[in-house]
Amino acid sequence: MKKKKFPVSLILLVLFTFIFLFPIYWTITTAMKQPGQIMVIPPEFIPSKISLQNFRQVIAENNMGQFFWNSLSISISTTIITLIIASFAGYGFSRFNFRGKKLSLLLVIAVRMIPSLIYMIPYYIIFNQLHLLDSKVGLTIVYITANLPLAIWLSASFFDELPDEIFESAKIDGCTEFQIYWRIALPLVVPGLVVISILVFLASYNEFGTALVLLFNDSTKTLPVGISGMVQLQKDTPFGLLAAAGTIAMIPAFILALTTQKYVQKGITAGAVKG
Amino acid sequence: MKKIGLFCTVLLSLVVISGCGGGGETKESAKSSEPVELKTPEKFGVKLENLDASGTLDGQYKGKKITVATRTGDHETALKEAAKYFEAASGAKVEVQSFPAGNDEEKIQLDLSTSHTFDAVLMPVANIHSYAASGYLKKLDDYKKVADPELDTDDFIPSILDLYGKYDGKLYAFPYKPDTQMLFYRKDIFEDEKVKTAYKEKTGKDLAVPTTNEEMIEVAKYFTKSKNADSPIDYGYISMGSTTNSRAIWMNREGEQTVISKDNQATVDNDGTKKAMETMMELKNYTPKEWTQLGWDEANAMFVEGKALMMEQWPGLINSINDDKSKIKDKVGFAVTPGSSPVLGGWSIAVTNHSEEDELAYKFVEFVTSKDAELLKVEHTMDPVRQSNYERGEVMDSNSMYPVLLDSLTKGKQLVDADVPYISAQLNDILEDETQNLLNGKQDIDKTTANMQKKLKKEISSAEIE
Repeated sequence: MKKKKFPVSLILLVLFTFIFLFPIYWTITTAMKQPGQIMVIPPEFIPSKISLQNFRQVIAENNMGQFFWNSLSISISTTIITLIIASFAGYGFSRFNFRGKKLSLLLVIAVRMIPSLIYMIPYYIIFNQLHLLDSKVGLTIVYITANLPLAIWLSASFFDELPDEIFESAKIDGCTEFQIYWRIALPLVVPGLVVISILVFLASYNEFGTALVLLFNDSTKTLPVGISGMVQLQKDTPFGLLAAAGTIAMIPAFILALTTQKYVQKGITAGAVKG
Repeated sequence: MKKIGLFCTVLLSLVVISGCGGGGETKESAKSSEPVELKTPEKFGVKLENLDASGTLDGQYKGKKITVATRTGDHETALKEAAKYFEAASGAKVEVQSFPAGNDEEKIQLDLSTSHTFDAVLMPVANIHSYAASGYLKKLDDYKKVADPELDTDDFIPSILDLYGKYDGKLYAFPYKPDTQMLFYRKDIFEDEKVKTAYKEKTGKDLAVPTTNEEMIEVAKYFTKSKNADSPIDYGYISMGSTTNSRAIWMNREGEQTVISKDNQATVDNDGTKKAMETMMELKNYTPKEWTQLGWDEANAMFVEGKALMMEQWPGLINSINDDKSKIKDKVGFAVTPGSSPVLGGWSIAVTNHSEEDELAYKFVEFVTSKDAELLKVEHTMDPVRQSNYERGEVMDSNSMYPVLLDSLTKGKQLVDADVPYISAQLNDILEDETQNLLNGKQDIDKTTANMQKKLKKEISSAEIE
């Protein structure tokens, strides 16, 4: 009789799930606690009383709705434009052979290697001249340029995965190059594009340093900048409000994770088997 | 594919919306550019009649606008509150822009040196001095012609105007928010007859709130459970012992200890500093073992949990003490830090050198620090900087700390931030690192002061400050 195997993988799965989910659980439950329930020993793992006061306050008094909208609109704009440019560029790098192709690809990724902090002052000075300081357009431009290198590389690798026969057949059927891109290639790399979208969206949505430097007004500030403004020196940290703001900020990430899971799996696998 | 196209179109329209929304004013702020008549406000039983700067604000700045920069939070709220009345009196529009604590200094510095969008800045005193040294600020004496005839700069708390407002002998800023460390103590325990009797029996002395370092050590020792099993409380003393805060513990001590001289020389390696550090190390015996890990939240939480008899802290602690969940609400008294030489913090407001509306900016700076208008900021935790205001209406009674705060501000000797232009933050780091090394037993007092002296000197000389 075979000896039953000890379910090590199951234990590891439970352990990692717990490690990853507990901070989220803690944030959400803290958001529902009153100040007196938060800094207590022993901690209230299950809140003794649940209140939505922190959510009400953070939306009504802390401008969170405006910050949320700003973050969302900037991130979506960045994602869409990056995706369009990256898919064109990636297709070009993948399909066409031209002199300096390898060097161009290397240069594209080299831009990504430079710490973004280096660009900060030049951006500030240039945007000041162009009157793009304190503007969502300015920040969107920065995010697009910051995300494009990785997006182009990834998109090129996804197009590389497609067999040449598909393109040849499309050509024989009389497709123009744009029709091949639009009707044949693009639908086949959708899982890859979803992966790129998620990476770009989250990078823009969570970015703090550049937004802090380039934005001034409450009407343009993004969520990370807005949330950081809730902490004041010489005042008790408003843990409940911060947790409520964090919970609201998590919503898009949750929606993304739930709706795009199957594409992410496909996309990551597609990128991984490239050889 | 059509669906994808449609999706892209919808999202692209979002892009346009997002783009168009950038940089502009909110609808609300645009509306508020029309000056509105405001009722004469009454604060603390005082009718604030002089909110037109003795008639020098008469709607003459209509159509003009200034931008004021500060830190996000109470400073921003207080400025916005005052701005409403200033707009009504001057006809101008005031936009208050704020930046999160910890990042505000770099952001404002960048604007002052590059984009010049701010007309006035409200910042901690050490920063204001750096800006003045860099030539980023206007001298306020240049606006005497347009000044409020009732400005009365002598009304500011003695020494505050010099320390907060002047650099190199010239007035660059008006004090806005005073700050000083104070001693918070458990009044209920100090006044408990049983405790007093037991204290007298054991020490032969009357129990009293300490006024000297020696008295503080003696009291702290008696009220520390590990030293005296009869103590009604766990620890005799607590403060923020963590890095970024710990230098205040020895700087609060009496004596001739100094850190930086008026001509920007390091003077920390002196007998006064060593004595102050000896007191700090003695106090360490009567604090929780995690003392050097305690920042603002942690130290305050321990005090309001009722774990310590005395705490040296900034006035903001009062909010935690008065919280409904606090175990020590109505049980706390206030005193000047033992040794009567508390460290000072503080904020000042100044006009920037590149302001195109500098006269208007000056009028705003003058307005928010004026005798009447400064009562508008008190409920936003910005305590008065004018001594006469403590005597007006119900101001003194509105906050039980005020008599001691006023006393402490008058006795304050040095700023908690090393007050050297450009490099204040770096010098503070040196002081903190060395203080932590001492508190954690890595070096003795002599080595600590010697290291501080050497490193401060090196930093100051490399900055080439004249």
